[in-house]
Amino acid sequence: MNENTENLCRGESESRRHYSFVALAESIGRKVFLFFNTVKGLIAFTLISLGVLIYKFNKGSCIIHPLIRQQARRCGTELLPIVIFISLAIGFLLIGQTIAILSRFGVKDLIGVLMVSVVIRELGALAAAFIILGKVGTGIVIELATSRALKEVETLETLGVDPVHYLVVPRIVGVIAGTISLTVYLIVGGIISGYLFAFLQEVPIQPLDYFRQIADALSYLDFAIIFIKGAGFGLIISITACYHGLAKPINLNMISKATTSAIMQSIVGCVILDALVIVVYLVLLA
Amino acid sequence: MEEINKTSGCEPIIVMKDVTVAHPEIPNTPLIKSVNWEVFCGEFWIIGGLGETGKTALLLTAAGVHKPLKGEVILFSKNTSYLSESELIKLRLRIGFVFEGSGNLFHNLTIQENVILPLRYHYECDISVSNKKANEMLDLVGMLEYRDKLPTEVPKQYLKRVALARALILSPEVLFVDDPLKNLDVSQEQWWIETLLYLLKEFKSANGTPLTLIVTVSDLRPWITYNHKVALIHQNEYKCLGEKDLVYQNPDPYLAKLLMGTGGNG
Repeated sequence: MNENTENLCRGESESRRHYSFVALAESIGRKVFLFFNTVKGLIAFTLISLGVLIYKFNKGSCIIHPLIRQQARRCGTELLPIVIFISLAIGFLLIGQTIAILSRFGVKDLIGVLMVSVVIRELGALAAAFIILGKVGTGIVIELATSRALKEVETLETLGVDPVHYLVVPRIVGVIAGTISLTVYLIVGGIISGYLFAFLQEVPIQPLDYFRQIADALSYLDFAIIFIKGAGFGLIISITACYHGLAKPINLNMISKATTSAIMQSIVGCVILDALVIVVYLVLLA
Repeated sequence: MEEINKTSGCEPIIVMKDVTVAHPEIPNTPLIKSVNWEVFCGEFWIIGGLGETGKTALLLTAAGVHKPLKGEVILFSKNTSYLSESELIKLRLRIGFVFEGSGNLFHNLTIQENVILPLRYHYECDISVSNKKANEMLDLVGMLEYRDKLPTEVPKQYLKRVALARALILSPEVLFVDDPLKNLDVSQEQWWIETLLYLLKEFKSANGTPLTLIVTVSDLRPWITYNHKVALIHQNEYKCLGEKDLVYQNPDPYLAKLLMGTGGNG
């Protein structure tokens, strides 16, 4: 009797283990499938959107171009206050302190190189991208998902207006333009405020030396990096946000989940692009 | 009317052959099966059906916006299955569509901007020319005084009138109106019936042809005295019944239900 019960228990525990293993494998398989499905959807959506952007560039310009300007304003000038605040923070927290430390160790000559590699190549574009993602990217998902739920997409189709052209293209162009310009503002603001904080800490470096070091450390490749990263991050954020808002049928109660997915995927996409650009840059330098 | 069209050699402007209408929310799910329908120029069709029977989906499929799961939709003698997106858009410009409810206006645009949107997008008209045309249309639907307001500032019952003005601005040949009397008070109902009948009689499309009117309803009673053809959607099937005089004399039980006004909203 006891042996039977023992066997039964062993059998049950084995089947439970087997079941949990199957459930785990199933869960991983589903996530992998979902991941590839999302990547496939995002690539297809990107190709469609870029195709419409190029093919219909001049179509309906009196309707589309004002929308582009509106989006560029939203991602550029309207975000200037927060950009100024962040650039001051970068200047104070990072650059000011770094300059002070470098001066203490007598390696003031490295300031320019450090500024270019930290602020110009890395922080500027990434910080601009995250500001736009938080302020505009989330807004885009909510707006487009609401448009879809309110059947505005079908309405556009009945009017013969391509929904991608009307809803997606202005946002892509606006976000790309906004990310590039905010990156430049952040870099300029960070460099100036960094020197101001260093000056306040009585670091013995002349403004002329400071800016000359930065200019010497800069190369044409750095300008290309600013542009490529700004445009790339803008494209990733806008495409991901538009895809989650527009590409799938959505109910109003699914909007928050779509927004979270868009934010996470945009962050991952931006970080991957950032790493790729730096790898290519290092290869080109070598 | 069909007889006149056929004898004069006129081709139907919409033909649906054994069409299965797809569910708009659930992919690859049939909603209405075996739709066989021919619409000729200048006809007035009323499509009756209870709520959630797929009236909107049928109209969107007939207008070439939704693809059918099966069968052929031939619009203005062109099979929509073989048309490119740009060719489909050209056909859609010959069709006006008024959605049910609040007419699906864009809430960030003013009433006038909503109306001129298709005109400016497709023809890039000068703003003064577009505004003039929009004002004519808004005047026609009695909404001129609201032209600078946002849709949220306009009484809800009037929003569908703006959608009608927007649908008419490109002078379409066919006008689809989805449940125009839904949730309206009696005076508004009367306005819609009179306006649609006026358009049917007087409105000329960009090609100079008379307007073809296709209206979905969930209650047939307000329309019973006017001349039209009748079709029904019932239990996922489309029934083309024909001239109203013949149909209403001896209605089937489902039609009788719609005639008694027990169809509900939808």
